[in-house]
Amino acid sequence: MRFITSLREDFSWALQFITQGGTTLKAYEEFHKVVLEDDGKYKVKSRRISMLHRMNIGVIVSDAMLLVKFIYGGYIGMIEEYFISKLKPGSTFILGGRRLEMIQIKDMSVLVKRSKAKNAMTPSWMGGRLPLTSYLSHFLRLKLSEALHPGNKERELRFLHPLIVRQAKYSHIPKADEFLVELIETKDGFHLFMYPFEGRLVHEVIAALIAYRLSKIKPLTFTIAMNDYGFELLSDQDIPLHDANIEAILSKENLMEDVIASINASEMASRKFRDIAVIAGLVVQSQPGTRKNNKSLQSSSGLIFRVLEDYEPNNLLLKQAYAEVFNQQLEEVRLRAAFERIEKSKIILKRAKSFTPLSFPIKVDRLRSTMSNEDLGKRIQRIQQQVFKLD
Amino acid sequence: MKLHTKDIIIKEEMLTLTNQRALFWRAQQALVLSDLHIGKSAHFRKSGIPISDQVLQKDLERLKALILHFNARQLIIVGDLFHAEVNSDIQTFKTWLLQFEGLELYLVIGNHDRVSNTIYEALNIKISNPALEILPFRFIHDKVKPVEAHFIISGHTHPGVVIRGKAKQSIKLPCYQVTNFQLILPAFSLFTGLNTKGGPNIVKIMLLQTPVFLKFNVLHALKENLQL
Repeated sequence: MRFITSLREDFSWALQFITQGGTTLKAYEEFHKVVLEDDGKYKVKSRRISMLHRMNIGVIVSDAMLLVKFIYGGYIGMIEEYFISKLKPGSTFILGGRRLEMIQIKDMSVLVKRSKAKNAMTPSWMGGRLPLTSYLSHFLRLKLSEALHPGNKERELRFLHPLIVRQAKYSHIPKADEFLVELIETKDGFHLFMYPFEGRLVHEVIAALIAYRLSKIKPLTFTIAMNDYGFELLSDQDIPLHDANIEAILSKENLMEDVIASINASEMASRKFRDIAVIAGLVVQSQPGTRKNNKSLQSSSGLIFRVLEDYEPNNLLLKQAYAEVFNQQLEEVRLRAAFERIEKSKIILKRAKSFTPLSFPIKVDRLRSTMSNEDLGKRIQRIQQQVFKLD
Repeated sequence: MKLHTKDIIIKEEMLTLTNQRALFWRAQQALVLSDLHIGKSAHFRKSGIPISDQVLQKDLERLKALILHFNARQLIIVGDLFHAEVNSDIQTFKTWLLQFEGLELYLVIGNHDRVSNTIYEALNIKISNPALEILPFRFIHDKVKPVEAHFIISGHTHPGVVIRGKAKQSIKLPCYQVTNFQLILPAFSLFTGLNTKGGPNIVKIMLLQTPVFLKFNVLHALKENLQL
């Protein structure tokens, strides 16, 4: 918190938060973090709390990191839990220039041995996903619309030419003044793809907005996927989008009102809260290399988000999660510009029988979120009627 | 609180599963539940993580409604009644208990139940470690290897299911997990996580917040002594 820019009342709230836990005093009996002493000084009295706090200073919010060690001793490096949890014992991956076979995961450590296997997975990190800037995305749109011109001299575009031809044949290559929308029906369900080329973060906002506007026509549940040039809405029911209403769906009318409503309905704030909860020390992370991992204090940020929403809706950390969606992700100016551009563009609505070269990379993106305005019981009943899998 | 129930018969005993994370054993007038984790929110508060005591209040309200609805005379808790040390939440629980005259409490000691025995005595809770036997059932806290003689009712794992529908949709919910020799209860407290792992030969039943009781029949799970 930068104190100079914070409001007096926010600062008082923060003081109350660390000394009393929350605004409903009775609900936070025994809360113990910072104590106001008789001489007017604020003190951390519990060694355990100060230790938990020190361990958390300068925390970099990432997926949990695991140590990679040889089973006979010897430390190789660190790896993200999300990658390693996908591997089964016996599978091989590369780290520190070595091929390693995973034997088991124990106490935040991955035990491995050398492997001679030919095929090994290359680890990936969730880490930083830097979204496209508006300048870059502008030129990307230009490049794409030029790509179909014959006699292109650029090596990269020549290399991509077969894919671009395929896109043009089965769907359409959006020109600089066009906006492409694809509706594709597969055995997975009904897909809607849009390609604003505005970067991943802005796409998440636009996707939630379009999902919100569509679900006002009829109750729907969407899973949302996006990358830097477009996004996908996937539903198990027919998506009520057609030439007659597409302009209304993509309209800049009521833009901010609809965006705010859609953010409240989606999981974006809950995801932002994950980082906030870690930094604020609400979620105790297990530290690699430590045996004791504070098991009795473990919970998920999702659980704490729900508890706060239920019982402490005015908690500033909660509000910060929403504020971060607005400030970091929303970029109102850019969003408005995007919708103004879309409004001026010629909207091309294409229906395709299978995935197009533009849609495929979005379809396979594994970071998905859900948005629904359907009743949970109804959703379950419908899934029950469909063929379902269980794990 | 919306209550939905589903009767199942195990070892010729009728068990009423509820969508409120507890089951009722009619023959014994016993409400059976697991993993209440009383004191968890206070334990968090003591460690500087502000979790409202409303979390506990909500759990106790639900429990009260169930006791009154079934007119239960016994509470059988198969472990993890108390999350951590003696704290204000346990005091709240103690006061809450006073309203039920004649209600008998049985606790199978779980991995979290580490408070001293005098506390249980003071609360008039009869403890068993590691198992409580009321034929034809054996109540324990954690998983065990199958023993043919008894049907086991346990907790500890906080079982949940992920149901997957079309369009990559999924919903995660708590459930009862039933095999031929064991029934695992969902965690009673709402301030708990879910474990959605499960192997073959497992039937997972029930979903909360809905009148629909789903029965997941995985592989060849459904056997003779389990009439659903």
